[in-house]
Amino acid sequence: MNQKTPNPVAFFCSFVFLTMSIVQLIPLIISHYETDSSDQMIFSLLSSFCMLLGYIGVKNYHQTFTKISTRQLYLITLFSWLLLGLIGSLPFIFILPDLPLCDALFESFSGITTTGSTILTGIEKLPPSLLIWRGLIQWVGGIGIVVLSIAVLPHLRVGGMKLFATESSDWSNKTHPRANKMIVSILLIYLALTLVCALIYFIAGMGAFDALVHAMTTVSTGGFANYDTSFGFFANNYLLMWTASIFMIFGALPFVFYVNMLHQNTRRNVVDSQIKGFIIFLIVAILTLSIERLFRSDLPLSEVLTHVSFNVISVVTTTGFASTDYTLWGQFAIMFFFYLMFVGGCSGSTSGSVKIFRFQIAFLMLNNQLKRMSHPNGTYVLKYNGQLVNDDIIRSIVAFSMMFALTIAAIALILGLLGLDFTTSLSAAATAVTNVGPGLGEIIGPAGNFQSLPSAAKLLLCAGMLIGRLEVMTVFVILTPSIWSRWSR
Amino acid sequence: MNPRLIAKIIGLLLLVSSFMMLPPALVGLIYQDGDIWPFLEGFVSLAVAGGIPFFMFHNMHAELKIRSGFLVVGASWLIVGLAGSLPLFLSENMNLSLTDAIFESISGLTTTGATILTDIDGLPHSIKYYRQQLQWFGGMGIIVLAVAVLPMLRIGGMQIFKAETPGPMKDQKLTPRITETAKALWYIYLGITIMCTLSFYMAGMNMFDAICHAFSTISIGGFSTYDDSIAYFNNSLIEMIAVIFMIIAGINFASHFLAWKSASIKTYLIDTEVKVFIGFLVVASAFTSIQLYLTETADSLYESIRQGTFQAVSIATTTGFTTEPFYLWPGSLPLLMMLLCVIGGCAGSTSGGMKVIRAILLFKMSMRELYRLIHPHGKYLVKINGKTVNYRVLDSVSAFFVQFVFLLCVFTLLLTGFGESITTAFSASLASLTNLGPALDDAGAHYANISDAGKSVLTIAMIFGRLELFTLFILLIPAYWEF
Repeated sequence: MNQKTPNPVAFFCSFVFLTMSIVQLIPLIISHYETDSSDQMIFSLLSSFCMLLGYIGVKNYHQTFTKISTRQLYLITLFSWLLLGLIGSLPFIFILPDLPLCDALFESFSGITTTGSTILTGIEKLPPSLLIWRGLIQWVGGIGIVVLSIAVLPHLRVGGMKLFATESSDWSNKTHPRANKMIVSILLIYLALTLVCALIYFIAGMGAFDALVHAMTTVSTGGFANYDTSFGFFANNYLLMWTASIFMIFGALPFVFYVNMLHQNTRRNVVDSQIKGFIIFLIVAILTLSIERLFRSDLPLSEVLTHVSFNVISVVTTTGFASTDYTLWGQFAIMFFFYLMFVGGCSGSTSGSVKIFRFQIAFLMLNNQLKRMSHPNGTYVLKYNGQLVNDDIIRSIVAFSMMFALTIAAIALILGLLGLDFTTSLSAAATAVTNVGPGLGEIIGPAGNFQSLPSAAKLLLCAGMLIGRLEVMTVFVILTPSIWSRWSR
Repeated sequence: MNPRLIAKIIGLLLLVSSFMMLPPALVGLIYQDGDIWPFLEGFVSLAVAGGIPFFMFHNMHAELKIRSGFLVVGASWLIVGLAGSLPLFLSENMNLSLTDAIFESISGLTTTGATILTDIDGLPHSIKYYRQQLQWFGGMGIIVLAVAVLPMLRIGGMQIFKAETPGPMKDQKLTPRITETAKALWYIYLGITIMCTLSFYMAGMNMFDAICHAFSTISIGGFSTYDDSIAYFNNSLIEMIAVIFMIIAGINFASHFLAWKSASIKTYLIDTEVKVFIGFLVVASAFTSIQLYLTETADSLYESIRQGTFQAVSIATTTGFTTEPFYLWPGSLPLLMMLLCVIGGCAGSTSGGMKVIRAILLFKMSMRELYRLIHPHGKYLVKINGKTVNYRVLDSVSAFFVQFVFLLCVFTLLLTGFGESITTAFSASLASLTNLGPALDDAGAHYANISDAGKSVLTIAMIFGRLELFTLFILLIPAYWEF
C-alpha cells in the first residue's frame, strides 16, 4: 500500500488494537491472584501482541486526516467491530482449549455487540480473569456503540439517525474541539455510572468481583452474568434486582442527555421526547404484564412486580439478564417478551434493536396519513418534539425497519434449514439482531443456552448480532456494488 | 356524513345479499337434503331487513362523500358477513354457535378459507354449496373494492391504479365509471370461473364438486367440500389445474381485462407486478420442493415437486387449499409457508396479503435508501413499469407496512391472552390478516379448537385484512370523526 495516501481505515484498526491491549491489562492483573499461572501468561502475551500491532499501525498510518470519506467511515465502522470481535475471542480460544473456534467467536461477538447470549455452561467455575474479560468486552462494546451512534451514524444518515445530528457528528470539516470534548464527557459519565452501579451492588450484598463484572454488563446493557442462572443467582435480593433495573434504564438513556444535564445545555429537546416515550412504554409494559401475572398466579404483589419489572426492563433495554425463566409464565408472556425485544432503548445509548424513536415516528407518520385520508384538504406536518421531521427521515426509518425485518426473516429461515424448530429459529434470529441475548423455547430460552446449536447457526447468529448492532444499513451498504464505484471515494 | 344515505346503501346491499340464499335453497331442493328452510328464512329476513331502509330512503340521491366511503365499506362487509351467517346459524344439521357461524361466514366472504367445521363431508349439499358460494360472492366484492373503491379512497398506495393502465395500451383505459368497470371485470370473473369449472369437470370431478371448487379457486378462498380439501381427489391433474387457476386469479383482473380486449398476453409480459409474482411463485415452489426432497418428507422427487408446488402456490396466493398437512412439515418449511402468505398476490386480484406491488415498492424504497446512504445528494426515483412512483404512494405503502406489523402484534397478543400457544397465535393471526386460512399448530387443519374469544378476534382480523387495513383503521382515529 502506498505510504503517502492517508489510510484512516488502517489507522482506526490499529487504534482498536491499542485500546484492546490496554483493556487486556485488567484481566492480567486479576489473573495475578489466580493459582493457575498460565492465564497470566496468556493475557500478557495477548496484550503485548496487540500493543505491538497497534503501535506499528499507528506509527505507519498516523497522519492528519483532513477529511474522511463516507465510504471510509463505513469501512472503519465495520472493520473496527469485526476486529473487536476477533480480538475478544482470543482469550477464550487460549484459556479454554477445548472450546470450538466458532463457540469462542460466538461468545466474543455476543459480548462485543452487548447481546449477552452465551454458549458457556458452568460459568461459575471459569477463571476470574476470563469472567472479567467477558464483562470488559461488553463494557467496551457498550461505550463503542454510544460513540458510534453519537459521532458517526447521524452523519451517515443511517435509518433516520440524522435526527440526532450534533456538532460531534459533523465529519465534513476537520477536528472540532467541541466534538472531542463531548466524547470525553461521555466516556467519563459511562465510567462514573459503572462505578456507582458497582458500588451499590457491593453495598447491596454482592461480592466485590461480582459487583464489578455485573456493573459493567448492566450499564452496557450487555447481559453477561457470572452465573449459569444469570441474575437469578441474586433473585432473592430485591435490592440488587431493583438496582440492576434502574441501571439498565440508565444504560438505555441517551448519553448526550447526561452531558447536557451536567452542562445545563438548552439543546435537549429531541432527547426529551425519546426519554418520555421510553419511560411511558416501560411503565405500560410492566403494568400490563404484572396485571396478567397477578390474575394468573397467586404470588405476592412485591414478587410479581419485582420480577416483571426486572425482566421487562432487561428485554426492552436489550440487556438480556434473566431473574427467572419467564418463558414459564405462559403463552401471553412469551409472545409479549418476543415483541418487547424489538423495542429497544433510546438512540445514542448502549441498547440495541429498533429503538423507541423509530416507533414514535412511525406512529406519528401513520396518524398523519390517516388524518390526510379523512381530510384530504388539510395540511399535516410531522413534528417530533417540536422539531419538523423531514420526509427523508421517515422514509429512511421505514427502510430501516424493512431491512431489519427481512434480516430476521432470512436468518430465521436459514436456521430452520439447519434443523431448528419454529420457535427457536425465529427467536434466535430476533434475539441476535436485536442484541437482547436469551431467546425463547426450551433450547435457547432464559434457562437454556446456545451451546447445542450447530456451528453454522452460531456463525450466522454472530453475523446477525453484528448487523443488528451496526444498525443494519451500515453493513448492507458495504455489500452494494455502488459503494465500490469510483464515485463514492 | 349522511346517515340516511348510508342506511339506504346498506339496505340495498342486504336486499341484494338476500338473493344469495336462493341458489343454495335450490341445491337443497335438488338433493332433497332437508336444509332448505334455513335459506328461505334467511332470504325473507334479509329481504325485509334490507328492504325497509332501502324503500324508506330510496329517494335520497345525495352524492356520497369520500370520507363516508370508509364507513360504508367497513359497515357493508361487516353487515353482509353477519347476514351470511344466518343460514349457518339456523341450520339444525350444523348446530353451530353464533360465534362459529359468524366466523365461518366472514371467513368465506373475505375469501380467507379458515373453517371451524370438522365434518364437512357429512354436511348437506345445500350448506356445502353455500359456503363455496359465499367465497365466490366475496371475490366479486373484492374486485369492485380493489379496482374501483379503494383507489378512490386512496388506500395504501392503491391510487397507483387509479385510471392508470400498464404500458403502451394507454388508450384502452379501463372504463372509468365504477359500475362499468365492475361489470366488465365481473364478466371476466364469471368467464374464468366457468373455464375452471369445466377443467375440473373434465379432470374427473363431478359437476357439483367442480362448480364448488371453481368458486373457491377463482375467489382465492380455499374452502372445500371435503375435510381433506384437494387431497381428497388425489389427482395430480386436478392439482395442476388448481395451481394454474390460482395463479390466474392471483393476477390483477384489470390485466386480464386488457389482455382479453387486445387478445394478447403482452399485457402480462410488460407488467412488473405480474413478472415478479410469477417469479416469486417459481422460486418459492422450487425452494419448497427441494426442502421436501432433502428432508425426505415426500417419497420421491416427483412427489416433492408435486406437493411443494401445489402448497407453495396455494399459500403464496393466499388460497389455502391443502394436499399435504404443511403445518406438520419439518424445519423451516412451516415458517416459510407463513412468510409466503405475507406477500400474497397482485393488487386488484382476489388474493389477500400485502400484495406484490407493495412488496416491490417497499423493497425498491429500501434499496433507494441504501443508495442514498452512499450518495446523499443523488436523485433516486422509485419506478414501476418505467414510470416514477409518486412519493405519496410510497408514504401510503409505508403506512400500510406499519399498520400490518402493529395489527399483527395486537392480534397475536390477544390470542395468546386467550390461551393459544404462540405458534398458533402468530400463524393464525397472520393467516387471518392475509386472508390465507389454514395456519400452524392448533389452527392447522381447522379452527374448531380455538376459544370463542380467539375466533372473534380472528374474525375481526380477517375483515381488517380484506379491507386493506386502512379502511377500518381510519375509523379508529379521532380525527376521522371530526368535522
